[in-house]
Amino acid sequence: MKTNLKQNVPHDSVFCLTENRILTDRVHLLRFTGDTSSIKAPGQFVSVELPGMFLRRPFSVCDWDSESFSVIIDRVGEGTALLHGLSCGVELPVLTGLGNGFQLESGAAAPVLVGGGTGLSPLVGLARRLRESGVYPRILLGFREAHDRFGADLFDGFDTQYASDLFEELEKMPHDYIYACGSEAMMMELLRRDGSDAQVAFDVRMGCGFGVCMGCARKTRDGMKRVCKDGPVFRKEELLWEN
Amino acid sequence: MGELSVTLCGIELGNPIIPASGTFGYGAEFSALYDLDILGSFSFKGTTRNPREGNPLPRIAESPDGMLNAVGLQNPGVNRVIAEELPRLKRSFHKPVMANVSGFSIEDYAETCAKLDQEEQIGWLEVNISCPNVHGGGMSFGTDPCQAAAVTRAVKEVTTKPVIMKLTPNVTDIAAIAKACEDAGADGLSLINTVTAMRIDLKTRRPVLANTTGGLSGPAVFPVALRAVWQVYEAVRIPVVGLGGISSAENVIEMMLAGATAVEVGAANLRDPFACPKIISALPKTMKNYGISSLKEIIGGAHAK
Repeated sequence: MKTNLKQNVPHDSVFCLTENRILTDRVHLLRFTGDTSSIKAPGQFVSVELPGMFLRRPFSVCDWDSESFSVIIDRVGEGTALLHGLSCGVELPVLTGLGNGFQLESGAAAPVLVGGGTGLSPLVGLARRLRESGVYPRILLGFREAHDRFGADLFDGFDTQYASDLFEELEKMPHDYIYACGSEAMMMELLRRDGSDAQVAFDVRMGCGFGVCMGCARKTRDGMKRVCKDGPVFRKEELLWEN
Repeated sequence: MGELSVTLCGIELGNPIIPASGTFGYGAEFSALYDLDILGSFSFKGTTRNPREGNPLPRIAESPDGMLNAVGLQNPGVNRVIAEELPRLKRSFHKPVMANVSGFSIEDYAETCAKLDQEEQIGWLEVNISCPNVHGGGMSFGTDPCQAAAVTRAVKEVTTKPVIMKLTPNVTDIAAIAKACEDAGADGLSLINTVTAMRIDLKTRRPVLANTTGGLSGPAVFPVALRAVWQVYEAVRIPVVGLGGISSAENVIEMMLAGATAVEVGAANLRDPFACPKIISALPKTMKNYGISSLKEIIGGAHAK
């Protein structure tokens, strides 16, 4: 089993909102421009300070380059509603470089990326990274309802399909590795049914986002782990099924 | 430049800023962000006799000007703290550290404190008799003057280090608890721990926290903490460490005027990991604005002479 590389150091700086794109009636893609040098791997996250909110809000990085990063935000509460309503030009403090991202599995020749709902977000950057390493993953996206679907166009040039039943579609699709992000129930069912090795990224409520408050701890085979600092990406063999 | 140093139970602090237990781990994460030696000290994560996995998730909720937590004292246990965390801490922090201890029985407190008493880097034992998030322990000791005194006496018997009892605001008369701890031999007091609170999710119509209730912290509780420090300062002669919602140099000065010898900064660290360095660097200018040449001289300064 590979161990995670040296833990990343969070970086606090001010970003400018440069794009607020409506993807569906409750999902937006936001792009923030600023110093992205601390973002090293797909699956890492950022934490955004919001006016009038005490805690920062953590979001998985969808994709990034040397000048900006994007995040996909589902409107689930007050903080996300506030973000949806922001106009371009707004400046916000953002912690970047948080968490450990996906590690590219060198032995996997035919990986599939499985996204549940907005869980597809970190898979966009992951797909690009895999392609840069010479591997062309297939993308499988699942949603609760067909009318919730979005995001296939974000995986430009990849074999991407929407699945009405993720588990059935995955069985039909030849693959030797899974990278997944979605609801906990979806991912655990996926790992239970499929024999492939996998890495999965968890989406949980966090306090600090950098490993000190113990607000997001999860029991693993190696004891209690912080989703924000030790994750959010975990390897299949680290997980406990009854969690 | 004004004088920032204060003396807490015989130990000099370069400044009165102490990150509060539960918001700073054992220092490792913050040592990657800034030089820990700029701090007065810090209070490490609440440590118990045995390892604890803590409460189910969610453990955190947002609230106006604050947050709720119900972590439930997740920690690796005192033996691993001594074997793993303290040796690592010694490399990044070169001052006395405050050891925060919790327990579920008087024997728990005594055994954990006896072990930590052997550790050279520990300057003070901060004994938490005020955790609102675990059943059968913590807060129940801090809501009854007799129990609070019993824990104080048991800890004092096993250590020569200064003992600071950490008090809960979730009582009718915090001064009575403070006085009981002082009479039992406490060297100092720290207050307040979090305020018992809850939130309900309108969509699910269920409590947000898996533990149903949690502890409120952040700027929302600052006036509550200030009132408690004021009352306790009037009731006891031992030093008081003030905490609860402190987020600025102005808050530090206000808390010291109410009677705090030093202050702890908690929830602010979670919103902004650089909160403590920012407060420390803002202190000299803020002192100058209010004509303060030495912080020592303002402790309790708002009380009638």
